[in-house]
Amino acid sequence: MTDPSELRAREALTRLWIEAEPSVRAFVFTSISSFADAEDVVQKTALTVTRRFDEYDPSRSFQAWAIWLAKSRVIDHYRVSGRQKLRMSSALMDSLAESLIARQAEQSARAAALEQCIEKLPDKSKRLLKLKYEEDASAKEIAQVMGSTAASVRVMLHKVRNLLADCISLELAGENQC
Amino acid sequence: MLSDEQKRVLDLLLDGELSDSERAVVLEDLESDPEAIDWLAGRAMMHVNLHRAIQRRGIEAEAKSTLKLTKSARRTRRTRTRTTRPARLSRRMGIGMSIAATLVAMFILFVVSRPPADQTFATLEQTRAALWESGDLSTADGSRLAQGTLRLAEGLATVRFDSGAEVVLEAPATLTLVDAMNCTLTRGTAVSDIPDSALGFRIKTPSADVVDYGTIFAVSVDEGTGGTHTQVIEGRVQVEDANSDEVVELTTGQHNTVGETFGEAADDAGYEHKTFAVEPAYLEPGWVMLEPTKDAYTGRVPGHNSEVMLLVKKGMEGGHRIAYIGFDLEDINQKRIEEAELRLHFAPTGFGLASLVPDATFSVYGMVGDDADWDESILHQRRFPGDPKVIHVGSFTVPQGVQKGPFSVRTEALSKFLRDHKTSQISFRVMRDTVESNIGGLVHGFASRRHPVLPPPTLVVRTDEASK
Repeated sequence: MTDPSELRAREALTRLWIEAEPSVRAFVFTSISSFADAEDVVQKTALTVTRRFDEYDPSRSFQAWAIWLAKSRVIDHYRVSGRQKLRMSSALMDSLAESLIARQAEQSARAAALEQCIEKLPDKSKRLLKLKYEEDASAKEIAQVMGSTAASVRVMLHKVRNLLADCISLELAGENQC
Repeated sequence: MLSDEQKRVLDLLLDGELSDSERAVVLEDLESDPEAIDWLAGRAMMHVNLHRAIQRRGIEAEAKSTLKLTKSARRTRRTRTRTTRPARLSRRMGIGMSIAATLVAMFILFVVSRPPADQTFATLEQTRAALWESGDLSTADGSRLAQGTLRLAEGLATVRFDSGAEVVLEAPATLTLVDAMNCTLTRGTAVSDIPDSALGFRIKTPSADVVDYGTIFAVSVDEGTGGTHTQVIEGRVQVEDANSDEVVELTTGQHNTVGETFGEAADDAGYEHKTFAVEPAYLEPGWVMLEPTKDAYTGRVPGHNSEVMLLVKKGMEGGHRIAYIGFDLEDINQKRIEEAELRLHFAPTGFGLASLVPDATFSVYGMVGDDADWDESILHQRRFPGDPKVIHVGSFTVPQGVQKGPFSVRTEALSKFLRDHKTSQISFRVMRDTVESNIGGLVHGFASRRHPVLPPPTLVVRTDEASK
């Protein structure tokens, strides 16, 4: 039978992790260029967060604590892979973490707005995003599928994201003209 | 304001589309550009949200397609074997699926690493020449262990945690088991071998947290100061200062010490681990060791005596033995004594049953007035002559079943007694407060100044000057 205090702790961990996970993921994916490696580091961070949850001070930001643990895992990753020269500096990772933490409050609103904005994209852009984010394809792979060049795909992706960013800003401002 | 070109390059950074040299340049430029860092953070959040949104759409579309296919299959009563679907799903197990998988893994780990207090999570796998002091855990080989403390007086003991972590305790050592991933070392040495399954295994000490990342490493704790010495034999650990944010990472062959200061990682080929076990703090400069000028015990019982041990007992119906020890502090400036310790080395006496005496508390008294003027002939008397005035200077406890090892008193009351005593002739009385639980209980004893092998009672003092 599960101890009530353990159940409460487990519920608290779940709630806090679900809230913080996008920021942790953004931190790791920015710090590590390979998608598979970054995913691996996110998993390790989650397990570290779980193991050390009793050390978490509830009076402080869980998100900041989780990102702090993620930072250690990112440093580990580069050390083990022997690619430390390609690692962000500690100060840069701290600055990135600060910016991500500052965005926590509007995260869920931005995620919801993004859903609306994707709907409004032309089919070609949706297909591009599907290949990029569902199939995790590289620009070169996408270019082969779409009959284009890798350079064009990179430009297209950049433009689509800019469109989405503008749309999200308008959605949040309640002036959706997208 | 960032240019579109700058933003495009940062998008390429997030997409992993930069070469190593390009990435290095971009990271260097970012260092001094807070606006770019902030933009990058916002864009990274969008990437994460895009991953989720697009994958959710894919999964929903797939579900609809599967539903249609199933209905169609029912209508035509045809059975189809679909081999491509699992492959596509596995490729697609990026963020959306992995979030769920991560949560499941977290729950499993949560349960594994946080068992209720009454459940076991480790096994005392093997002991070699082990002698245990009292603890609240079973010390039989193969015992399952829950939360509690192991106190190893002599020998080696291997504890295997259910996480896979293996910790070998080297005596004298005190280890408190917290859960399958955490323990606390407050005395002695622990050599740990940590497999991948126990990545993140943590040994806390009074001065540091040592976190393992898949390795073999040794941690030693100085019981007196709480100082921690860590050496990595193979692999890598992270040592965190318990009292500050300082962290150092040690790799194979490196070591560091955390005490009054936080030591850097040191490389030293052929380094021999420092266990703190052989060099007591009081041998440092400023400390002086004194051996007794006389010692004896009262309460002799015919046939139950020792010429080399000082026997101590509190019986149910008499049979008390009380030890007396005298020191001459003539060479010490007593008024300048800052710290002092009286150390006694216990050994089996061969008299009485240990099972009839619980954990035994001993009290040490300083004898005030002129009662220091006694000689060892009291050994042959039942009582100390007269009615000496005494002052309590400290106590210690000898766990049940333990009959050997050093025990000591190190208190301010002891230092004050030495400072305030009017002459250089100092005497102590050592009594056992704990009465045997039945007649025939153990007679405790510690080495006298006549013992041929063991250290005699020793008074160690530190003055604010080495000596007069």
